[in-house]
Amino acid sequence: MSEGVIGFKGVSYLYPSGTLAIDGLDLVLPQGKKIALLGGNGAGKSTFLLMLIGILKPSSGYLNYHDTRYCYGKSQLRTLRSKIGFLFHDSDNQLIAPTVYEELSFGLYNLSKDKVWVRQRVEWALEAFGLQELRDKSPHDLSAGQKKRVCMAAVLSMEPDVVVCDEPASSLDPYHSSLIFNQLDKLNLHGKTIIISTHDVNQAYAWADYIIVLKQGKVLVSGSPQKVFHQTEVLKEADLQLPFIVELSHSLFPDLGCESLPKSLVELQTLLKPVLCTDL
Amino acid sequence: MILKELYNPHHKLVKLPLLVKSIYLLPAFVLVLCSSSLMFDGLVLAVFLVLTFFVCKLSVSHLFKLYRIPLMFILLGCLTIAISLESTRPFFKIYSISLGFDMSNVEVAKLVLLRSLAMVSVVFFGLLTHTISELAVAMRYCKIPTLFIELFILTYNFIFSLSHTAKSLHIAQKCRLAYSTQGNKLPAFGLLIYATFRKALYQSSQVEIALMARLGTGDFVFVSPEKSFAKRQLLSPILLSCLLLLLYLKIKQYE
Repeated sequence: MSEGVIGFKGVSYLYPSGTLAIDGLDLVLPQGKKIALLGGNGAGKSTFLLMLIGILKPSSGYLNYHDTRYCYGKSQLRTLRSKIGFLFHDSDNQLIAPTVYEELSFGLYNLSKDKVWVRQRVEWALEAFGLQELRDKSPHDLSAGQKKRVCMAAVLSMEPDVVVCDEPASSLDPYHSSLIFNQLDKLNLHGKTIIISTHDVNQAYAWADYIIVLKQGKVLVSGSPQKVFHQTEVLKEADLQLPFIVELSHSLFPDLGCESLPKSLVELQTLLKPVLCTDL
Repeated sequence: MILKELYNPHHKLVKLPLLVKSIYLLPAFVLVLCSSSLMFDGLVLAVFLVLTFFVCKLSVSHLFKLYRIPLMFILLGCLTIAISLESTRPFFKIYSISLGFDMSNVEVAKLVLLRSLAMVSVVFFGLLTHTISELAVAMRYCKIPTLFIELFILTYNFIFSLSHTAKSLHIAQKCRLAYSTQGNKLPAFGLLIYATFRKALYQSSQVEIALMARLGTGDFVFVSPEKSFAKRQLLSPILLSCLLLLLYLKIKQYE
């Protein structure tokens, strides 16, 4: 048994247009971790995520979920998608029901026909995501932050083991973005594996436990944030910038090892304290 | 103005179950269909206009905007019925064509006008007091095939999505000086149509993926909050239906 939740074995994906989006990927996603998928535009992040929930089937190679090979039959996909929740980049594509309450009930009712259980879960989600006041409103009339919360509540109420989010903080202000990440942190504390794709290197560095950098469908580097962001040349190759804290630490302490890189502002202050005369 | 923009989630019947709400609608709908009286159709129109105004909390201007498009189509249709090419009392004559109103046709046109408006008022009241999922449930009760229900829900969602997309694209075009001269109006409009539908196609594929991700099978079944009602809440829809039935019978008796 491996410790990974999902494994990629020699996976490639070729779009009908001839674009090779994923190129011979061998990778294990560690269980119970907060995983950030980084890469420039066209790196293959969205294809990678869609393969996780079995929407796209690899052109070659295969994926494993807890060492069980992905099967693409109707019932196997149903089982897989009940375990892996997917939060879309554009909330409008996910919202289909006329009211928030009914939106939350859609996936739950597909999971179980027990209406009493569905209503209990919907009430829980409304409470947990602060959506009680919006329960009778049309999801299309909500603000971007509220829509994102509704989508997240709709996915998380189904209690998936793995939560996959395509750019969860895109089009959100810092406050709503932090709300979403707090919610993801809470889930992770309950042992769920969270996988996000993002362009925001600062957010990925501060939040994730494990980082995967993609470039033209291949993994350039993966591992702990300190390990990944220590490799500046590789990041340049992936068209990514260094997080601000890492850049500052590198400029002040060029010989700093990857394990000593500060991950937060507090750690940076601790690092700076001995070399500065003033009290921080 | 589309119904979705006017739908008020806090209308006065929102807490009533589908069954009770349908008592307001179904008898009136059937009676208007059976009626051949101008007076009865006019009465139903008036009753449902007032009901829409008070129950759905719509302003008069919104109500007028809502009725604009059906009214236009109905009036055009009625004019076509009323105007005759071989009129005995023409108001326009050219060679052998004598264009004018024929009294028998005018009578039919009046009946069609009022009956259509009465039907529209009942339908609008229904649409403004029911969510799309309640309508889907009603369709399921009526044994309408699943494919039609699915199409109905998707069309409803795409009308909103299309109008939203078209509005954004229209603004983007205007910012780049489209529609500023007579010459570029038509090409710009053509491009708007093309871009709107291309975007809608992309969105529809994304919606499909989103539905699959939430175990969707094509059946759009949503669970609504449980709605209970007191027996006295049945009183007003039953009274209204009885009143309409009595009026219908009385008018029929005198005809």
